[in-house]
Amino acid sequence: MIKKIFMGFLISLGAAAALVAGGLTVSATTIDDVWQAAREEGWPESMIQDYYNLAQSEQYYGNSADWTEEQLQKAIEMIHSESSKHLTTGPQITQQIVTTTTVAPIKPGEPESPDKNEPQPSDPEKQPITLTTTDGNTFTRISKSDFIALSYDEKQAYIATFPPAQQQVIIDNLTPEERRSMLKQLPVDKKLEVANNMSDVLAEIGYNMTVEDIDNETIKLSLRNKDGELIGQSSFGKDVVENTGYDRRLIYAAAAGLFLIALAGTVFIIRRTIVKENTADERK
Amino acid sequence: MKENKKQSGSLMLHIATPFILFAMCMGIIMIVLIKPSDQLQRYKGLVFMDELKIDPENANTGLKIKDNKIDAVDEEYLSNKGEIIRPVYAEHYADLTCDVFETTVPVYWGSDIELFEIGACQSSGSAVFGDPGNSVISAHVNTFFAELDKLKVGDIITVKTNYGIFTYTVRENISFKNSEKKYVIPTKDTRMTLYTCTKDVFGGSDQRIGVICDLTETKYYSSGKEE
Repeated sequence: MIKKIFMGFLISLGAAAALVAGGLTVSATTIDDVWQAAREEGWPESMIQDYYNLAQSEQYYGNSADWTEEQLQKAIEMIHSESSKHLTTGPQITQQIVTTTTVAPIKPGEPESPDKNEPQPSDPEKQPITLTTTDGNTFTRISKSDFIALSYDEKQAYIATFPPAQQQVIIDNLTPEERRSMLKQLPVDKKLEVANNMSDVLAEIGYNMTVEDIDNETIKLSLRNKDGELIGQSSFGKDVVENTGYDRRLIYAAAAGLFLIALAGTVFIIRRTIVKENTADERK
Repeated sequence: MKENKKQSGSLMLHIATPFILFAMCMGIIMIVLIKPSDQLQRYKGLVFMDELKIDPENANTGLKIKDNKIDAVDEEYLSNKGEIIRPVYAEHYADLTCDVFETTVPVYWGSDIELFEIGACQSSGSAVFGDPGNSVISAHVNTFFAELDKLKVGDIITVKTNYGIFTYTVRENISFKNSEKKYVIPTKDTRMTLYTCTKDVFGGSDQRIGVICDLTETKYYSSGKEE
């Protein structure tokens, strides 16, 4: 289970790459629009904060206030386009893989269910969502919480159960939380694919992005400048909370090993001494 | 013949005994020295920062630790408004002091194994001091945050940077699992979160403890960066 968004980080690197490549003009689009686009696509706030800090740091990217309209637009486009690569329409597959739970409405005077995990009709996140296509037809999809609870493949399969026109409407209306849940679940091979794409983009402007560590739980990425200097390192997933203790198991194992050796030696010597004494007694 | 055997047994006893005693002593010494070595590590990190910066291992990773001398500034140079000097990765950009801490804790921007050896690390995904949001700092429980569990609600923590002084008051003691991120993610309010592992005999622990602090006073250096 991927706990944090890997792809978003890569997109952000691409966005940063786009941002650093140009001249100056006063623009209607601001850097805040870039962050807003990232939020819409479901990027986690810590990642946006990370890149906000990088963008503010003149040593790396120049003053973000000087970035051009074109650069900012390019960054926004890149954020949206990278996300849309993983949310595409396709032919309808009618096999229904998801069913929603229908909850009986609470009658007046009847106490509410004490279990807060039970779907509540009043909770909008647990209500099926009605959407309208461009030709005016309405249809219903599962609730936000039900969608988030699906696996990556189930999400893709669920969207595919609708006709292409409705699929597009569903994709367009996904909330940032729903998009984030999809990014979190992106398979490792797709993550590496995106990593390679972004690494190539960054290499063109002299930045080197490397995947330091990747597994189902965590992804660690490093960004270096053309001189090889490390200018950013991010861990997403379990390692967002740092490891702040030394692992002492090896020291304790070594100490225990020494004690065992000492113990074995002592037993051996005692046994030999006793055997010798007994032999000597017998011979006497 | 018998005499020879007896002599060889006695010789073996004489040879083996010192080794056995040595093994036992080493085992005891290893365990006894764990805590003092952690203390030593903290002071070594503070005293020999320059040597650590040119560690050949760092050269391979591209990590360039930037050290700063963060000096106290006279009251007359302080004002309510000022400009943030944004840190670069692996820069020592703040000093954290508190009555509870035995030493001043140097704070580095970004998190890295090497940085954890020489100070506390502020997550680059958190707010720079002076920006609104959550400034998240972690350090080893064995070294720089060894006394973090002694902090109580109401304790004052001072953060000195090269552009200002930020005073925080402990609002809440927290405890959470390393898989929980709610304390380390950005927040709308301005706060500082300090955390470390719980003390564990075998070192690494999944449980974290820490404090959430409210920003109570902000003073910038009116003349910009003090060299």
